[in-house]
Amino acid sequence: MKTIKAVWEKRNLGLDVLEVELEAEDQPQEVSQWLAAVEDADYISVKVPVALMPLITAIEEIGYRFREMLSTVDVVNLPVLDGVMARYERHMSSARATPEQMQEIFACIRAGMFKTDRFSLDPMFSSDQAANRYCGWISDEVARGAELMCIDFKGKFVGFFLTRAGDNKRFHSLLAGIFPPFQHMGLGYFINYMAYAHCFAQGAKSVTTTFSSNNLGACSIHNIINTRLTSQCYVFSKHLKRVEEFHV
Amino acid sequence: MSNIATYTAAFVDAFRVDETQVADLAYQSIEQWDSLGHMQLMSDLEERFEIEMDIDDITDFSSFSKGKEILGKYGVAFDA
Repeated sequence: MKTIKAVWEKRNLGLDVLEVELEAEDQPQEVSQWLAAVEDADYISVKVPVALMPLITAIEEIGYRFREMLSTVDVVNLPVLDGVMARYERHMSSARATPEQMQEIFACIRAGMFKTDRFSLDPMFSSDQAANRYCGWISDEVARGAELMCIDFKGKFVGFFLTRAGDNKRFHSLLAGIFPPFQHMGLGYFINYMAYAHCFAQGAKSVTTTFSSNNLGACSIHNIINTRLTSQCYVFSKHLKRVEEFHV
Repeated sequence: MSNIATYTAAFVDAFRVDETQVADLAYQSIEQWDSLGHMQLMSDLEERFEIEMDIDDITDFSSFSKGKEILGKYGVAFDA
């Protein structure tokens, strides 16, 4: 069992957050006893690798609720585009976001462009808290060297993606989104494609990304492109702080 | 097959819906009409009607009814 005090979430959510990752060798009874004894957290999330039913049962029995399944995949080749897809791609480009564009991205996030993460979907969190997480995360990743890229479609700033170079030319595609005014144009596939194209253009051997089972669009896209599924886990969570104290 | 029957069949095939449902369809009104569903529908319509749509028309193709208007620009007529 790994435990992480997610101190950054104090800034994002205004809460003391504990992140727990269970492993196959963890004993259900020990895990549930340990979790039940935690007092210094307002919110706890627990990741459990799929199929470990005794562990899942143990945390369900102490009040943890299922939130999502996270799938992590490696994209090993840039998908080949043809026909209509190729026509879209000819009108798209990406460039590093300026500080002003980063603020535009934050404004769109605060206006509610992301709706499928477990914080946006959890009525115990406000939309401001959910948006703060994204803005804080992007800021932290950019400060650590990740690239925040703007996507241009026919001269319009339609969305963004965030990627990070890792060891051995293994890149990470961290986040991507289309701004609401452009979400009806069939661009969803390309927001992901552009991120992978950017990484492979920089010499990536593979690009790792993680998506939620609550995000049907991302699931669908990654089902049709050439990916290798590397891990899946269930995410459970529990609120320890009273509801009325929650919203910041 | 009439143009409206061909047009309706493209939606039925792309989104696995009943033909009685297609008239009310709009982009993202059903889960199947996402960006990938949109690509599939556009490709299928181009093949069925032997046309190649401009990218602006592809991105404007936001509903069943709007699509009929767009295909009209390519000589595909839908009799009332």
